Amino acid sequence: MVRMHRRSIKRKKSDTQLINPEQITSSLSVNVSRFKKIFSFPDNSDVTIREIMIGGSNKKAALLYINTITNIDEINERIISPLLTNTDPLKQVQQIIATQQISTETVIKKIADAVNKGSCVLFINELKHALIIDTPKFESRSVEKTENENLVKGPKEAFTENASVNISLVRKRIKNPQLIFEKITVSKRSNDGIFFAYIKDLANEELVNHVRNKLNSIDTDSIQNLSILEQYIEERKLSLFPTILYTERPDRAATLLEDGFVILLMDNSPDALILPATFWAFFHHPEDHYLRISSGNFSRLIRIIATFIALFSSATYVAVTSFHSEMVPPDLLLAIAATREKVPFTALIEVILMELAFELIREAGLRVPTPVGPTIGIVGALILGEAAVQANVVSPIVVIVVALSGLTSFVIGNISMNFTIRISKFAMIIAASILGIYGMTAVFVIGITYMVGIKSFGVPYLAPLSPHYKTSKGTIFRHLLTQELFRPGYLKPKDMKKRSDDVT
Amino acid sequence: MIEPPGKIGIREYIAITVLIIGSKLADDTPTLFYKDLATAAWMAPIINGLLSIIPIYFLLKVITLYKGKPFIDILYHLLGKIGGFLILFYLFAVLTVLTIGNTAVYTNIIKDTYYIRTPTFAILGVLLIVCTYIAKKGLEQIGSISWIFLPYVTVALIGAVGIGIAQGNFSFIHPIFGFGIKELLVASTVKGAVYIDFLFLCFFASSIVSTNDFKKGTWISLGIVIVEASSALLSFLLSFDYKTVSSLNYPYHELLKYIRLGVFANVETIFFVFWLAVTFIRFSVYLYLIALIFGGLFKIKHFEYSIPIFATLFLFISQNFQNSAYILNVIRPNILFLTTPIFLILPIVLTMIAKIKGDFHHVQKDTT
Repeated sequence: MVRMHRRSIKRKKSDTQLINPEQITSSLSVNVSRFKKIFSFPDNSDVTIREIMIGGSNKKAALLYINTITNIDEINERIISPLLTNTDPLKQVQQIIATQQISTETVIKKIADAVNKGSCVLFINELKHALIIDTPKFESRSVEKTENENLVKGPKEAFTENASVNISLVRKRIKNPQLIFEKITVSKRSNDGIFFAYIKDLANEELVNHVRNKLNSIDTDSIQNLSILEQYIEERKLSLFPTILYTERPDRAATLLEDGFVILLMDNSPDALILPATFWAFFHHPEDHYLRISSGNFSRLIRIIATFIALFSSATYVAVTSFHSEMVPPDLLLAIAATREKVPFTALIEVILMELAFELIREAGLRVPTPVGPTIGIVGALILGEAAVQANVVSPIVVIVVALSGLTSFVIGNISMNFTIRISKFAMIIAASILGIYGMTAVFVIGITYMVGIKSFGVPYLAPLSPHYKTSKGTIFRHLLTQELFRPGYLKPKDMKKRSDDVT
Repeated sequence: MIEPPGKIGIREYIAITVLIIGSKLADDTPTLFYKDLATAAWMAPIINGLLSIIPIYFLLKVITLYKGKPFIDILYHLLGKIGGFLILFYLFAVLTVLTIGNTAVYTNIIKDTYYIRTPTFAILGVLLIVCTYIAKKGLEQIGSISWIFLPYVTVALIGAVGIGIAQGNFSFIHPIFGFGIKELLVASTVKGAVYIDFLFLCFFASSIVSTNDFKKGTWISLGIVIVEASSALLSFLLSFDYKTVSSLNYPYHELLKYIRLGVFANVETIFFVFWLAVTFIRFSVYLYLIALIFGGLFKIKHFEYSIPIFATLFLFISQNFQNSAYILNVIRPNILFLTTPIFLILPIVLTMIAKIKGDFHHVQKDTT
């Protein structure tokens, strides 16, 4: 009875703790059956176990791999066929196999992890360790053009879902032995690895440690991609303002790395996270520097104006029509009054209606299947614009104002900042409807005060404007490249100057 | 990566100073000058600015003597426990009365010029809510937003004042010395307390990165403020002539109504935005200062928590002072009367006590 009980406990233990730091044995059949159990062979259809007899030494061996994530051709040509055709009995297995990387491992859990990462494992009878042969081949897109951060002049490559491709895209741009890609495993179950890059002789060590600690402190089972990771590591999770920059452009990641920033790359993420990020980073675009200075600054100016229009135009309309009608020249005022005469709603309701309609069109346009796409345009333009005016639901000037604010909001390319502006716009409209310009100024001042207090990984959000830091002064408008002498001071980089010391 | 908390740089300090003192020319303060000085009013800021060099010099001397020591501690150190407490309490009371009076005036400006039908309580409430929010964030944030708004506010002010001078009639400047040189000097001296904020700003001295920056910043801002105030007073004078301007309560806002940009005849609302931003910053500085001094008086370490309480108190008190004539003719001159002596005398007294105590000697010894 007691023996039976003990046995049942033992079995339970072996069932639940199949994957624990246990070692493999020297018996091939035991090992194979163990791994069959771990990988639920043969239920798990893509797990392959190939048993072979090594030529020459005539030892029994077994290969274990998942055929959907490994390079089958490489396994056939460089592992299986040399092993079978070998004739020299004295040759070591490592000498027979012709792949790039082979390591030995004895711990069951680590072997199982390696299989999951696309390696092929070779068990040999009477050998107390397994050989792990690197043969991963995960399917992914090839490098394509950018889709969101487009530009006319400059490189067009974008990150893909494959981290090693992304790393090579960055390495292609920075040929510097000091460029480090550390790998940190963040999740407990799915073992997601994050590549954490910085330039060793530039990036501030405190910043690097801060980021590393933050990544190590994440406690979760799985992190699918960088968009999810972003929400784990940002400091103010409920804040309207993004504090981590998200880019799909390797050139931007490389430029910022060389300024002393830290970037994060990950499998399954066609993008990079750049940290810390200041408010200005969301307004800058790599093309500002690819264009000549006048064109680059013109485009920045347009972006600044657009931001203000997006944020304030609807609110100003509400404020002016409800509180400050004396501001409008009499002719225009009469024209507005004449069109508003037949509209039964207040200015606030009118504007909110149209803004919501615009947001609906935008959201629908984003989710609509491509074949139905053009319908959205027709519905938007005809029904919501033309017909709404003819039905006296809104006045024509509101359509103009809202269309202007909607159109300009697209100029802010970064999706996080785009949402920030669009949501703040509604706060502005409501403030304007309650207290006119006074209310708007109050909300604006509170917003700026709030922004001043935000910190992204220890860096003030509005730096270098305030608090002041030594930088290249390209915060609002860029300067000549020959005048951009310094790396951003708020990062406290190890080398402030962007060129050799004799130039001042 | 992380900076020492609560310290501000020289830019932020100058921005705070210029904004809170400069904003006085956009309220009812100019009226006080025109009443006694007529056409010479624009010289008063220069004269009493030059005059206030003396108290400011002594203040800076005391503060540089005790490098890095908070002004509250300096007061206690020099005046003893009771003397320090009394002076601090006096400053606290003056600042409280000033803030109550000013919030009432500013609410009045907003209500009279732009929001005739909006209830006072709403206007004052929003003003104090915003100021509490800013003040509670601490000096660092106040300094940063001051610096951020400074360029835009300055452009708006230069625009308004410049247009005033350009459109004005230069013959309104005569007689240059108003009622006479003697009257000019006397009246300017009595109104020296316009610069009393320099005394209050000493409470920030230990929060500025270096004492040297504080010294430099004070002198620079005094210079800026003198030029600013004097040209604003000149601009009002040239636009309205002294008779009219001395009967206007808020000449800056009156001036704005005369500005037109092409087809837009009434653009005062655009200037109003910048003035409002300054107003929010100004009262948040005052709220912060009041809480700071209150903390010094009653040994409260986390004095920021008292800011909302003061704001609530001010909300209920100042909404009762909505009679602008009463504020401008009764409260204002009395505050001026109460504050001028302390501004002129306290710095000299402090320096003398420091001298008697032999602290100048000790410090010199320490440094050598």
